[in-house]
Amino acid sequence: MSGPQPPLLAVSALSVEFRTRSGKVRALDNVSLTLRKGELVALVGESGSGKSVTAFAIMRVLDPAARITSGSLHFGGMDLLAMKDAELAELRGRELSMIFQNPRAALNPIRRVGRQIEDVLLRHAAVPRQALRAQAIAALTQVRIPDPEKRYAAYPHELSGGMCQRIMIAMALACRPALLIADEPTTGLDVTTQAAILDLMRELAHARGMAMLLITHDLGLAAEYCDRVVVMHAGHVVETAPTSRLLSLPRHPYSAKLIAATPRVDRRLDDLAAIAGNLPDLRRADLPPCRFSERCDRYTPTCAAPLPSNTVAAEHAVACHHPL
Amino acid sequence: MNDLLEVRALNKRYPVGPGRRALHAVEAASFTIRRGESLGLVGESGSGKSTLARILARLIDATDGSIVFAGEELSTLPAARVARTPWRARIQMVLQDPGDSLNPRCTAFQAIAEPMLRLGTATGPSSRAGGSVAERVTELARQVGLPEALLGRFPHQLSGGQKARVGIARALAPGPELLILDEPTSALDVSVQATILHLLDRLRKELGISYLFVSHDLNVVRLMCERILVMYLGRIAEIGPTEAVLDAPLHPYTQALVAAIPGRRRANMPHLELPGEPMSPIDPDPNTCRFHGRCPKAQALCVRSMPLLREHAPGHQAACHVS
Ligand SMILES: Nc1ncnc2c1ncn2[C@@H]1O[C@H](COP(=O)(O)OP(=O)(O)OP(=O)(O)O)[C@@H](O)[C@H]1O
Ligand SMILES: Nc1ncnc2c1ncn2[C@@H]1O[C@H](COP(=O)(O)OP(=O)(O)OP(=O)(O)O)[C@@H](O)[C@H]1O
Ligand code: SF4
Ligand SMILES: [Mg+2]
Ligand SMILES: [Mg+2]
Repeated sequence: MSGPQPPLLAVSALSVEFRTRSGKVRALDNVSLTLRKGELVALVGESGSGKSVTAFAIMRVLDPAARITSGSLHFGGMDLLAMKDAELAELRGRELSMIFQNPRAALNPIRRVGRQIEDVLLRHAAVPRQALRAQAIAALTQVRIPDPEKRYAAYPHELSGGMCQRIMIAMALACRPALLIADEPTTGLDVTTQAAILDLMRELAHARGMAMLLITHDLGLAAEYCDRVVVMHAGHVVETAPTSRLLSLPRHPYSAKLIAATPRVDRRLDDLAAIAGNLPDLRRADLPPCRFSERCDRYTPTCAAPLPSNTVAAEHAVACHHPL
Repeated sequence: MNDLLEVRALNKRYPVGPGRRALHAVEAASFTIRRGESLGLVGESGSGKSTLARILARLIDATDGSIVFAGEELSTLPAARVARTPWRARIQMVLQDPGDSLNPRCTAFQAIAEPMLRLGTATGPSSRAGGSVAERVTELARQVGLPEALLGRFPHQLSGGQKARVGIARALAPGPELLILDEPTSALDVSVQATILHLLDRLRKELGISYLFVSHDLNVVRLMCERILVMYLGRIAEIGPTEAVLDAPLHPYTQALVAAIPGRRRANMPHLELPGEPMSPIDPDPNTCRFHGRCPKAQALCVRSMPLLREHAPGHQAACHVS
């Protein structure tokens, strides 16, 4: 008897608030998403839609001003919200790894990059000391850093942005995590470097059966690299679907607009359509149940009722009263 | 002749470190921009795009070379003096981050009016004759789709898209013939980018101005430009009509660039991985192709002789021994 495998990661109905001087920011509301072992999933949405907050919540590294007001987080069957700090520290870096937005800031500027990889190995992988150097160099080789023996001794400022990104990946992957969360891992890099790094991440994920949550505002990248896409808008997950299905048959009005606003190889300027309005202010006390309703041209009074979660096909869910 | 701008053998070297070492930011650049044309400028980080843009905007001086604008030699006029001549009005630049480039203490109205007041061009060639500065600001706000009600606001009270509109209105205010746009939408979300791209395209057609459009996004350049210029480590690798450059790239660097565009790769373009790291821009070997060391097609000749631009089809040139 083998029932359906439980997902590797399950975020269920998660809500997160930030206390600020000008009021509560309701950054995440009822966010649910799952990742299976080895799956590549993209989390997309405009700036401020809650992608990084979702990642921080999963990693349990939210800002002290944040409060998880409801929901649950499970990883490999463990309840992340019930775990102690020491257990979490053990889990992070070993099973669950993250590449943060802006890699140069995440590296220690005064420690040689090879040493920084060794620190990770030492902390999480119980590698014997005499094997550390060889393993750190192996990690650099794996992310295709040219001349790894020499680069082992380099400081971050001596490396290009693309190489720092590769070092971050080497560190994140050193302990063979089951899930890698990559928050805009290639923003600011040249397109050729971006393609090389994402190819590498995909290849390593496939080779190791590692799951990846790729956070990006670029739908083109999501389409290129991921099996499924989760679309966020103003702290809500508005649609989840297999990639090709989302691109060809988006059902949430916001997803459709996001797709129509993205320049693509096969699109002319006339076909490119902007999205009216902005994200609502998440401090507002009167946020409507559908946070897209004020920008939506399908709005009817029905939309003032609590949002449904419609499953419109296998693996395809939409939070909208009037899906396309 | 229909060329608005003609650049010949333009060089920019920055002195670096001890001794007489020089960083070759732009080398031997020769190309033209026609009246009303939009030329895209692409290339990887550090390839010299902003340096070239700033030289043409006459914000910095080239080391040597010629810039002929509307039939007149401009390179002999130092950048420091340009600000006080009518040239300043004829070439304007829109900067990358609309937030950073606006003075936080000036309202949108003041930001748009300032260049006109400074240059005494309250009535640029593109405005209807006559009119006060206030009328011209209102007209510009309308042209760039900025609601009049927002003219009294400060930058921090405006959204990213609205700030981008202020930046564009400000550059249009003196009535330029050439607008230089350095990554004009890279700080914006796609939802806002689409509006700004439409706006820029419409303005160019309505006003008949030329654009030099710098961007790292080839899908955006394809929408906005008739021709594309590809730079690699300071030198022009390829230049030609947009369609030709993107659909049949000649230079191995352009081929790698095009193959890396998301979406295009699934459409069975083979992916070219570039090995190694770019060579140093400091005193590079004048007889070695700048792409050598990463180029998947390099041959013995590539380290003995610098490839020069050759015409492969009308208007389509590449600098490569192999292509
Ligand atoms: N420490 C904080 N205090 C208050 N509000 C916060 C804090 N961190 C994030 N927020 C708010 O939470 C919302 C979601 O932010 P988040 O950083 O997750 O966006 P994002 O989707 O990652 O955007 P980007 O694409 O710009 O990285 C935003 O409205 C943001 O202002
Ligand atoms: N003031 C300066 N002094 C010394 N070197 C400089 C200076 N300005 C630019 N450079 C160098 O000139 C080269 C070209 O830089 P430039 O900013 O023009 O590149 P770019 O193509 O615009 O890159 P990006 O895509 O990152 O904006 C780089 O090697 C840069 O480090
Ligand atoms: S000239 Fe040689 S090294 Fe340069 S791009 Fe062409 S093939 Fe490559
Ligand atoms: Mg973020
Ligand atoms: Mg630049």
